[in-house]
Amino acid sequence: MIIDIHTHVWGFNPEKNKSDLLKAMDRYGLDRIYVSGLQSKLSDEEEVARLNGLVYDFMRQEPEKVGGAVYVNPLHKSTLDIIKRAIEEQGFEMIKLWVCTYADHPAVDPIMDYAESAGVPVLFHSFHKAVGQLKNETTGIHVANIARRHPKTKILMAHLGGNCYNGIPAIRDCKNVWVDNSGSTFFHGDDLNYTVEQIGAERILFGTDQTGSCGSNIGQVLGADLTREQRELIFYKNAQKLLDRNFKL
Amino acid sequence: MKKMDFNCFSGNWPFHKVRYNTVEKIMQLHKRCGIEGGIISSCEAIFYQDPYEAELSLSKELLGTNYYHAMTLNPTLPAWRDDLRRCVEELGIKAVRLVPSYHGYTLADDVMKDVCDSLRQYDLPLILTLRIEDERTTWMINPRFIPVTEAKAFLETYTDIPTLVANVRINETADLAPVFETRQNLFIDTAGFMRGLFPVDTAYPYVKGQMVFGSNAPCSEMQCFTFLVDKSALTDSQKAAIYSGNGFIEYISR
Repeated sequence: MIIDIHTHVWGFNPEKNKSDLLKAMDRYGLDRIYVSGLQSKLSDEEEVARLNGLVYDFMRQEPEKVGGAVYVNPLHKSTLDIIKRAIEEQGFEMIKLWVCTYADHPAVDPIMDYAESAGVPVLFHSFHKAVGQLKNETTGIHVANIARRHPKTKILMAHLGGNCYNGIPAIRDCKNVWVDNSGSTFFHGDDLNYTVEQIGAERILFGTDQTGSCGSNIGQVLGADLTREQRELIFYKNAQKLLDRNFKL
Repeated sequence: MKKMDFNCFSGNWPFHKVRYNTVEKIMQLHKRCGIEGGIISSCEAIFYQDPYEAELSLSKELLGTNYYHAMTLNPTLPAWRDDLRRCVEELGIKAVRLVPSYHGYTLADDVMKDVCDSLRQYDLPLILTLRIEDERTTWMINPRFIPVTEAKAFLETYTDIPTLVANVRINETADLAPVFETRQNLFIDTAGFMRGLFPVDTAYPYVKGQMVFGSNAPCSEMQCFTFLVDKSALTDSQKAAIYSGNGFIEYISR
């Protein structure tokens, strides 16, 4: 069984994205995917509503295959209302933040408080780049800061921190932070082995960043030096545990 | 047909620990994937001031194996011609790898004419490596980004040199497609195909039977690429041809 915790429908071409996601699920043997909508780096309220609407429609079209992560811009006054409606009425199971603010921006604190009370994880994009760092692009140290302020909130740091040798040491001691191996980069060959050594397989979830990539992320897990039990944890068991709203820290 | 990896390395990488850092360990990785041979270069030869030291070490590791040795040539070094001669005459290399992103020259520099003359003299194919790591995840050294236009102009100039272009991204494959239409001795490997949902399917129409399997291991995870090839929509015979090197193997084994 494989659960892909990190995929996207992009606002530019959502119908093709949805079709491609389903094709990739079939091609690569994915059982369930978690989708968030993305478009602008600094989304306005109309865009946030449209993107979450796209994901909600997809969830209703494919309830067995598609779960949702509600995407918000923490700077909007409506953010908490959007999250509450998505989690409590529409069946979204996760909160997704991208690059509207750093992860440790004060505007993120109310989101973390709600996530703790609701038992849902918060997925942070995270990428430390040697070149091309985006404005407000979170790195491991930002994730560690917010994790320490909210030690009872479940956090998922994306892309192994982008560069695992920067991101993983930053969150190593934050037991409320899990990571996913999503990403469409030339990850280093040892990234997953290194991450397992640093934080254990129990804190790693499988993700792809579809439609950016997919098959290479599966190959990364298959190629790492893992036991069968560790591979099962990464491919789906850790996701099931993290998404279980009764699992609290 | 034998499965081979036409783009892999042995040795240590300066910026992080490499767990599979010997020929023997790379062979273990290959065995897991049913790969029985390949072309190996030395990671250390990219960085040493006297790369022949690294080439000599690699040649000793390769003794008695099914693997071919591709030396890494840095044409900015004073003794590159003699290094090449010694690698041919004493180590029996079968290909030359260029890594211009780390070595401070461009493919348009005058020295490239001399390099290609030497390749003709020794009847050696070229492995032109556009990158080793994702430019965003490098550490300490920011290797030069090689524009695909630079690579394309080089490939259009030295058309008689059998060349494998390694670690090419999908979008760059499309840009290089016109050169593939005119050259039968030009090849691309799979090690750059991280991006996209079905990257092998996407790239194949641009290069058709000129795609070979390459992993960039251990700098990249080998099974990323075996999985992508195996799960692609290509026919079994097309996949087998990719693993066996299509026509590129002829230039290596002669």
